[in-house]
Amino acid sequence: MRRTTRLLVSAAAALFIAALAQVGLKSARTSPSAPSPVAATPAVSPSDASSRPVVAAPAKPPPLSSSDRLAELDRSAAAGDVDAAAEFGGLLGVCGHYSPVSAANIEESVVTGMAAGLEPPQIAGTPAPPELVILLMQQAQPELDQRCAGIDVKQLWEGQARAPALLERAADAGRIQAMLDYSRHAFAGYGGVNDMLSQMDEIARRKQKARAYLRRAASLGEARALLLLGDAYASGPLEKIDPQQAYAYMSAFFRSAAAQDWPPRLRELYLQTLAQHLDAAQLAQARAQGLQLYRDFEAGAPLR
Amino acid sequence: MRRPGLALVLLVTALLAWRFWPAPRLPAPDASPPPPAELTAPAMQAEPAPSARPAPAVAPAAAPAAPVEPPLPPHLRTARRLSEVFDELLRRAESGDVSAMRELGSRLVRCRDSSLRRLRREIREDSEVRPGLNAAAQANARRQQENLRDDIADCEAVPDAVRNSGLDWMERAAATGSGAAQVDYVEFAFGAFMQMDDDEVVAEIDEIRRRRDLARRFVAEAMAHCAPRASFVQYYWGDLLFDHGDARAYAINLAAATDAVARLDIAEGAPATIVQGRQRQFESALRGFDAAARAEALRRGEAQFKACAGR
Repeated sequence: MRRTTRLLVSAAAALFIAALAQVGLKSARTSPSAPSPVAATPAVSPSDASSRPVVAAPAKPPPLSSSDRLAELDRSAAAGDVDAAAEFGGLLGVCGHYSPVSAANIEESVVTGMAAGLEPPQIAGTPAPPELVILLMQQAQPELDQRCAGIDVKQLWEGQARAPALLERAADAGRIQAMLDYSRHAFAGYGGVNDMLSQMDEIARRKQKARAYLRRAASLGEARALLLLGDAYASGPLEKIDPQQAYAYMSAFFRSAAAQDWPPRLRELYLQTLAQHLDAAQLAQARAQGLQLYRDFEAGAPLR
Repeated sequence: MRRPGLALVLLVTALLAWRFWPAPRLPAPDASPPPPAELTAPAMQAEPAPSARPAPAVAPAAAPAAPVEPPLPPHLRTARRLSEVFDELLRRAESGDVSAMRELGSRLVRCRDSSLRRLRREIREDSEVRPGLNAAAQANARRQQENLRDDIADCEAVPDAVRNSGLDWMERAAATGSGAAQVDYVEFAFGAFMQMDDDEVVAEIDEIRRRRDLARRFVAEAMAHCAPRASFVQYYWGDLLFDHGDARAYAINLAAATDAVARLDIAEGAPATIVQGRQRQFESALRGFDAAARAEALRRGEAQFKACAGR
């Protein structure tokens, strides 16, 4: 019994750690009824990078085994194919922590972990409510299932350190999905704090790049960049934690078409959680700022 | 509580496998013993005691020793709890007492948010009484937990605005030119960084780099003033102090710092195991580089040592 509890706590810990990181991967939709476009395939071609993103045709899953698919992507990326670099880097970064799990099991793991005293992820410096953690994880899971299905996760562990360079190359070539993935996995592959500190100038470079990619992706019409910026202001580490900015970006995202299939309770709870850190004047300001961000986003204007 | 189903068990297994799988590491310096070194490495040289020998012309000229600040009254250094001496230390530090700045700073560094988070984590992780422990060990574990809780409470008693200012006080002390304060700054700043988690490093990277650059300046000044422990700190934190941009230059810097400390060890009669350990580190730092790199590292290490020999 004791061992079972410890296992569940560890599992819930892993889920907590992954929760917010994964939620930003939910497919963007240009309208609530549009098909899911951009999971494993880039949304835009290089020539599209300066214009609004184009919805890509849904990709058919390639009839390859996991190892063959990864090897093929690796070869193509090495040969200079930036689409392959985007996809391979994304798989290495995103799917390394993937596990197929049902909504019910997510709930049970989170509840068990909380009951055992596990610290949930922080939002604006305070623990996220369990319901919010569950909803965020449940929101993220289908996209992860779509993106990572058929991949043997064990084959990704050794290669995670390669993800940032692959994603950076693809993002520099205008691949929006790679920009988003880079913002989440720019620091993959470091062997702990010692390792990061000994390369602190590279850490600083990657951080700047990740922040710039999110703003670039937003200016290219990618609503998920607003979500990831909101998350960065809510929980770090790419931005200094600022509940007012987090509220503004999250509310801008929730206005977008991409968020219309998000459960209303999730949207409400996330904003409520942030609002707890704001007084009335700050909240009013955050709402106004969110509206302005959304208008700028819709107009394709650079974020202020 | 419902029993988890099969799917959850599979999930748990998969997640645990992921969680405990070793993270990919970038290549680390080879710590294995090197082949026998030539008899030019410092540890193998029978050198006269530094005090018996004047510094040669090749050694960098050492600046006059920095002024030494008057010591603090003993109770300010020995009080177990910061709360017992906080007001007095703060008053002295604010009036420009460098020793008080150092003492206050070093105590406050342990109260930083990241340090407290780490203490709380330790308490949480150690809170389960392990069944294998005997009664004495359990009592000892409980005592340690109580001490940790007292440490946290002591820090929490400090006003929030001051609690994270430890490194700022140490910076202020070091900026006065005190060699001891400069050495302290390097040790405490880098020690504090090591308490951070990955996300904190990313979040604070600009401040970390600013402090790293300051540490570089302070350690250079402390070396120039022959401050006690300056050579050792340069060697110990060389991985963070020296620029990694040029691998050869980095290796030479690291090896030179190791060589300087090895010479100090010999001069101070350190045990042979320590001296041999430094020699292995010297060789390891230069593995893969040519004889010219080795000679340059030895030349610089000797110069660093001789600049302060006998002082």
